Amino acid sequence: MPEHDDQDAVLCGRAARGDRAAFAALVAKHERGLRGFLVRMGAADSADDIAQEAFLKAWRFAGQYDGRARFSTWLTRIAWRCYVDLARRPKPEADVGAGESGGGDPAASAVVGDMLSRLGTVERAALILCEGHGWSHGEAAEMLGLPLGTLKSTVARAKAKCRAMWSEEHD
Amino acid sequence: MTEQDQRFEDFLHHALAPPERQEDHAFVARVQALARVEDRWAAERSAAWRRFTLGMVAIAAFALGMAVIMAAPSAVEAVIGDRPTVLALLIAGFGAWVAVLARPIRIQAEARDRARLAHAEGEQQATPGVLNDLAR
Repeated sequence: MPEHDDQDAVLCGRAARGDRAAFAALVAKHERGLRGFLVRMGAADSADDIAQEAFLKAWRFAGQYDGRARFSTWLTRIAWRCYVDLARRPKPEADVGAGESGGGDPAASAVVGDMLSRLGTVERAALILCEGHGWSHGEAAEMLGLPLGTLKSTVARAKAKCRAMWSEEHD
Repeated sequence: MTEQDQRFEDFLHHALAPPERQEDHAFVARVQALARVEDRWAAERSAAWRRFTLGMVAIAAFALGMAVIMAAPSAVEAVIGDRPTVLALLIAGFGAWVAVLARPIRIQAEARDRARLAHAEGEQQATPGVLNDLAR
């Protein structure tokens, strides 16, 4: 479960006043989770670019962070929008699920990468955020800009699909 | 929940978890550098807009002055008369006025950039201590 940290709000407030050291501390704290999410989303080649763009937007608009949600929720929402914008542009097919983002086991990572590649974009994002990164349904719904009920059904559907794929190999 | 379900749950959590690794200092430095570039670019853009605005105001003032001269040649003749040096002095004075107005803005923008760069260089050493400062 992502840790709640009021320090983020303080750091973001300082970043909004132009404190680059505070901003660097935020980047250092959140880059791993954000890049891991983006790589798992299938943006292995562009994950760093999207993450950089998201962090720069967070820097530029740090004054707009109101502290109602966690900083990481706000940041992930920005990154999600960057990802969706990038996905809309014509480009070569991304290698969905590839890369070294998994929790450790490369074989499991390859299997889950294959599963994720068969899910829709939103299903994939919802599943990664809720099942992999430990966000609550409410927080994930906020990140992805979905109603809570839609998010819950999306996660359930994605999970059921993965379960079916997994069962084919293990039953 | 069956044993198979539990195995699937464990597999999913494990496979989708964020990577376990140390923070990527190179990435942090890259983002910081991009933020510095963006700030600098924004400052330059802002300074350019100010210069452009000032230029437009100067042109408008000049045009207005010309319009006044054209509209009331007798009043101008009363001031300048047949002395071209007075006209030359007035033009030189106007040019100096524009230069004086434009110069401080450019100097201020450059000084601000230098201050930001110096601040950023100082921060590169200060960054690791920020969280400790907050904790205290």
